Amino acid sequence: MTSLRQRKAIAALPLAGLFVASAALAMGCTEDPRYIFPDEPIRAAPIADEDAPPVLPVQLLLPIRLEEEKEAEERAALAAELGVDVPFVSIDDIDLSLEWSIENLDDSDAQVRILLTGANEYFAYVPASFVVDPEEEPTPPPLAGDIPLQIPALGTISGVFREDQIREASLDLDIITRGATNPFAAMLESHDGIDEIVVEGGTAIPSKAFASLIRFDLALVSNRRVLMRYALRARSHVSPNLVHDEGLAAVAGELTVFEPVDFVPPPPEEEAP
Amino acid sequence: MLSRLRIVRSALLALSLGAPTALAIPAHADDRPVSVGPYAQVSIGGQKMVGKTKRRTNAGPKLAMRVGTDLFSWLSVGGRLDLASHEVVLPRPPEGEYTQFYGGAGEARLSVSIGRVALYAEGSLGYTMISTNVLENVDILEPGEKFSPTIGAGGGLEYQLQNRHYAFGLGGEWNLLTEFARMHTVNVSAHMRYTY
Repeated sequence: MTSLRQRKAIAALPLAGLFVASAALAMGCTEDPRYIFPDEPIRAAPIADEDAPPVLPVQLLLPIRLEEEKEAEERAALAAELGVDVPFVSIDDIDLSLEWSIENLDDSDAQVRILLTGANEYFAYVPASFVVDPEEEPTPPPLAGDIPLQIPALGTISGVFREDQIREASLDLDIITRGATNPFAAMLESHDGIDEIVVEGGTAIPSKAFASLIRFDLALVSNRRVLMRYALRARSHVSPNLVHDEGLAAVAGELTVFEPVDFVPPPPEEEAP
Repeated sequence: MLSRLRIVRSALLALSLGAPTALAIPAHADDRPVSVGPYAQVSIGGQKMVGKTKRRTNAGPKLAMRVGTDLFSWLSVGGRLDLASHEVVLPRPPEGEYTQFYGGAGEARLSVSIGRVALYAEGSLGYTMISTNVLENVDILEPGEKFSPTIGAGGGLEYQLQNRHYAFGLGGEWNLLTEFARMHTVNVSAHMRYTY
């Protein structure tokens, strides 16, 4: 026999379960994505002269909030423990994806390539910096993209650089720069799941110290007039969210200032006579 | 003549004897017994934006939970938590994204019982939080905007089960989010209410 109180408690169980489920759902949404919308789309036009300089990329810098004192202390302690620089925005702190659509403004089919390079908080990747002799050496590939895309006349296509692709781009950048690896070699293989970046003659960089892209450099190469619209989607795994609440509209003093330098590879060692 | 008088007298006698019995039987069944006191309610339904922001989201599911108490059989006060999920429709990237609305409000409800069925009207005042800033892309959200005061009104009908604690109902509600470009929403839902 169950008492009246017990029967009431049993009757209320489904409702209590729903409350708990919804609370759990709300808790699970702490990593809701935050979108960053650039002010202007990217426009591209056919390049008439093959000898023309490369297309200048458009830069999109992530609006990262200021680092809290406690975070800075923990990061300094981790850097001392690991013996390497630990970035504020590490690869495990944030997942990024870039969604885009390209509209063909001409009445004939277009072929387009998106070139995605960028920077972490230490270095920017500029493929042309690796070319000593443009006549003899090919330019290294970008961190992502560079795939020919066909767009029908006056049509629109859309796509996304997925989170895993951006993560791989971040890893490649760190391997090329702090890991001093040739970009062709770095791009050839996937580095998903690696534990460390081996540094010749230096301390290996463990995965806790892998730097994330914090700047996206996008260039569009096209044989027709096209317009690219895009948005960056960021999921921060750090609380408070690494991306400032107000995004690109945040006042400058509330954002972390990163000053990555263009990475210039060391000159090739001269052969011994 | 005598036999006619006997018939009339017998009829009058029968009427006079039967009348009290007939008056003692109610013309209809009593209202069902209904618990009055603390209650919990869960509802599930769908929500749609209306007005100038309607093109930017598709209709989506909505779940709400309420707890409160009946001050009288006709007046209840309580609180509500709700969750709605909508696909966002934008003219430019990103595409196929979803956003959630989390709401919390205080409510008051007036109800009138008509037999097994009760009609009710309710009003609410609270806050709504949006999960992402994706609607910034179409200027529905300002940069950094996440919360909006929310005013709501609704009504519906409720069927009381034989069990005095349980009732099931259908209802509709309109909400005005005073921020978020003054977004209006309407929703319809089915609910189960348990009164202790």
